[in-house]
Amino acid sequence: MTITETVLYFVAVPVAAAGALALLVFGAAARRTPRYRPGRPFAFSPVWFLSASARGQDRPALTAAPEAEGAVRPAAKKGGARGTW
Amino acid sequence: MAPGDAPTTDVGSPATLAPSANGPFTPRQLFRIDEALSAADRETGFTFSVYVGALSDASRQHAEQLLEQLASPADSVLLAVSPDQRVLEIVTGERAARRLLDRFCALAALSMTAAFGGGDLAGGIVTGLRMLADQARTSQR
Repeated sequence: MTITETVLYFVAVPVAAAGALALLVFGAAARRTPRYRPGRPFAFSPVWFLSASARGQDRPALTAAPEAEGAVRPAAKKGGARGTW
Repeated sequence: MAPGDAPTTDVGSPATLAPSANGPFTPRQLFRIDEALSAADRETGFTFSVYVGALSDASRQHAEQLLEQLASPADSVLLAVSPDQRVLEIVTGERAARRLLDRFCALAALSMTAAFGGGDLAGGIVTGLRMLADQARTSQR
């Protein structure tokens, strides 16, 4: 076996195999949507969803004249809950 | 931040589900959330909405402001999730709150945060939507 052949078999082939494997592993991961992991920073654009049917409905027509600017309007009572993790 | 201040994140108006270039969900997860949202709306007559993104420090006020931007806030339910702050806010409008009592919202929030703690954002949102929709539907009878 010449030196060129030896290098080819014992260096170039393993390097090529390792490279192909790395591409398979990290290439697929890079294409995937980044996963949320609690405690780690997670950069993404904010999203706000409604179902498709709700999106189609328009705002209901006003039944009374809009209040004058500056008029004190009591905030509607809301319910709900809060959670942290 | 004072309660009256505008939210720091301007996300515009709610949109129907479409894969965002840099959104937190895969198309498959978006499909699951869309299914849960549609089912919840259909079964209860309320408008359910999901916001995933940063909330201001006064997260409750910020979430309430988002709810006010919906077409019919009194009949709407908003689930606001801030993954970076690890905060979830469930806001129910005036009429929705009569069928979705706060203590049940707290139960749904507990289930959701359990999923979020495991890193499953979409799963937690779907679970929360289903629980709230089931409760609103049964309390209707």
